[in-house]
Amino acid sequence: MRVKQPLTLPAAARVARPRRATGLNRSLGPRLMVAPAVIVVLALTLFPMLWSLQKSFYAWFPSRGATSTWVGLDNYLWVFTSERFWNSMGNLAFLLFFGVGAQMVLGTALALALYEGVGNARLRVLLLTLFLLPMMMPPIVIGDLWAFILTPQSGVLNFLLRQIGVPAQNWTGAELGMLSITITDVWQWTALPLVIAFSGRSSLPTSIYEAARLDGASRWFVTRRITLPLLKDLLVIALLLRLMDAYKFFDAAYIITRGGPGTATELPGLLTYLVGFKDFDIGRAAALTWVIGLIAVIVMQSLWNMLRTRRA
Amino acid sequence: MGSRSKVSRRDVLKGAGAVGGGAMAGSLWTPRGGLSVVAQDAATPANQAGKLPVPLGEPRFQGVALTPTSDEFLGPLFEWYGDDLNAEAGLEFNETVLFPSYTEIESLMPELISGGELPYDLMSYSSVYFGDIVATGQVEPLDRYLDQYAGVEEYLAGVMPAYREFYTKSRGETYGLMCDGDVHVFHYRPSLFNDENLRNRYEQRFNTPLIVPDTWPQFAQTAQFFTEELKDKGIYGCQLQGARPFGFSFWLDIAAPLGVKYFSEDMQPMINTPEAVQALELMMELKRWSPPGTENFGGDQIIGNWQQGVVAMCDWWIDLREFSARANVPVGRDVNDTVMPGWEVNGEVARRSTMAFSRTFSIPANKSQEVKDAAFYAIYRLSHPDYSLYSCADPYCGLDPYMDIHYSDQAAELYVTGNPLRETADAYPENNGIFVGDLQAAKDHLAAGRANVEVGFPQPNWPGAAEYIDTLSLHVQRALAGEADAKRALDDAATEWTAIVERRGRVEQTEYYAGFVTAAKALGYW
Repeated sequence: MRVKQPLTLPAAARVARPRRATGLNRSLGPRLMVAPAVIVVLALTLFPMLWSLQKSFYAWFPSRGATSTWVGLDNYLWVFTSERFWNSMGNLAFLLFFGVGAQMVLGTALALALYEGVGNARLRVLLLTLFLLPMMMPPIVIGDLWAFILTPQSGVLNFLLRQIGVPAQNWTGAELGMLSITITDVWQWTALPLVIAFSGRSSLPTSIYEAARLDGASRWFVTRRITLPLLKDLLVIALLLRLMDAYKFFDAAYIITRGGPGTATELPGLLTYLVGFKDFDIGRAAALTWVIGLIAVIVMQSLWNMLRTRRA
Repeated sequence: MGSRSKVSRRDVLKGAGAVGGGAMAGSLWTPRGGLSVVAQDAATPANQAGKLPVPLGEPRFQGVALTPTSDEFLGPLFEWYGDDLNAEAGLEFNETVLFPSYTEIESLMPELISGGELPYDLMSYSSVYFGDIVATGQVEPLDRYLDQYAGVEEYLAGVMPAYREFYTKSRGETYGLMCDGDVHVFHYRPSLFNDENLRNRYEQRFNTPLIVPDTWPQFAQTAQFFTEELKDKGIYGCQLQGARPFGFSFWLDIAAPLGVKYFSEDMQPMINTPEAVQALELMMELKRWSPPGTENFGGDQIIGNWQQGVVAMCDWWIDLREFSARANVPVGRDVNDTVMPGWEVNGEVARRSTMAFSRTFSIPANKSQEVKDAAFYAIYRLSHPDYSLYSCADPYCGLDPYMDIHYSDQAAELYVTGNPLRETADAYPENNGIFVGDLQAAKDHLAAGRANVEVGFPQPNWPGAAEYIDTLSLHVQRALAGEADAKRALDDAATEWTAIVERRGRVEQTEYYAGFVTAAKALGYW
């Protein structure tokens, strides 16, 4: 019977072999290494969140000192029964549906037109850069720029309309204010789905398109049946990014209309700012933040689930 | 290196060394001859009483470097006058900590309520927040500081009473000194009122001559006339600032003369009375004679429209005329200002002009005594006419009159010359005066300011003022935007005001409001 000899490694290899960590070291080491980052994250996100959750159950006006009064669910009750809050959510729904919707459609269409319609590579890059410019501008500049364009009396838009015989419109009034804000957002952010769709289209294999061309598929058919389905995952990412960003839309609207006239263009972010930093009513502002945040989570999760189910 | 105006800082300071009482009396005051008016004299009664002279004339605060904080429009004060205050009392200033205008509550409040060492030693802020800032308990009471200096009684007597009582005092104690006095003024374009063709057409149509309106119904009729006559030429009868948070103040100009008050003495809102509704309905009518979008106009649009000559009449802050006078704009100097229209009551016209915004100086309580003494001296001197006369007349400083002497003919002369207490720099490149070469315009302008401040109506000054103001402005704007009728809008505002009272504590709010009412009664508002 042959006895199997134990395999022996050369001395050098034995030296080079790492020491096996003990159980304690194995679990502690990596944890210690990520601990600073975790502590920072906890300190900067989790603690303020819990603090604001706690404050949302209190009436607290810091100008009256550190004393706060326990009010239970009163702040939440105020949020849910506030006409102003639901009005702001309605305005937000308008912005998300029409604004983000238009950005997705326009962005995708422009990306495909740019990729498939512009043959000159330099011109393509130049146009792409031009489309990206608004996205790179600071929101305050966007706000001031569009306030200048939309001002009813002396704005550029009404000036141009008058030149072609169309009567001036009250772009920042109650009827058109929300549409104007939406147009501003579309102007600035169409570039995001555009650049995502453009890069996605660039990465699609040319062989599929050659096969389709050999089969005599029309351009529209190719777009509808090949390009868009292949870009779907990327477009979903773009949609979610835009929804998340538009959900907290604040700056340009604040500069152009300050939520007015009345509450015609007031969005949840602006309402929270006014309650928290103008009324200095921290309890209600905290409750608003939580309600708005939870609605966002529910909406985004539902959308994600819906898209995942469809894909499955 | 900036250029100097003809009269140097030192020339001006030659006369320094005295109390400002004489300045306020106007007896020895000469606009370009000296800061203070009465020569420093150890034998003055004030000094006999053992009080500190003003200016100090000794480096009492040498070694103390103060860090001021203010909104962006006040900033240059400490640059301009730092050397002078150093010469007077050894004061030095660090760079001013600036915050965007009307963000006091978010810029200062967190620091104040933290109770720690504040990063500034004196502060200027909108008087809207006076009540809130004082209520933190972190602001130094100033009466004992005032008592130390000579001439203070004259100084305090010279501050227009409504500013003094509402924007510097809380429950009888002084916590601030005035730094900027705001009031609404009625502006109009004389060329339109003097136009022969327009005068004839107005008389034919209304059987009465075209005059500068004295009452709000006349204002509405005149606004309608100008709009209907001149709209094709791009001119409207009037314009309204509908934007929050100060839209309420333009409604108050119309409502207050009808007897509308904020609350009853037992803290029931009085902003939805029939008179209040009547005022808002008139405002809604005025919207018809205003440029489109007026319900959302803020300061930029109002100033822009006025400067472009788009509007015939405008109720706005006192400096609208100044903005037009010093700029090369189409409306040019075709601007007059006068007292606000009112309502005819028992054969007399009752008028009110809202004293919206304004600025107050205060000093934080939790500083060393040495710093507080120095900071008080700094704010007292800057508030004092020795300096404030020049500040109010300087176009690069957003300060407006708040003392009797600020409206005088002598003060008017400073509006047609440069400010001899400052040099020019990139941020303030000119120093020629606002009404260059037109002393009469300056005098008329200040006379209009005085006429309006004499019927001035204070904004809320107790804790929560900004919330009351913003809520009221929101509902006034809703009515202007057509979201609600006047009654519904003001009822909604009143409901929210009641909720604010309950939420902030009825007992405490009533107590603060009682202080407002006491001052209002003493000054004849109630």
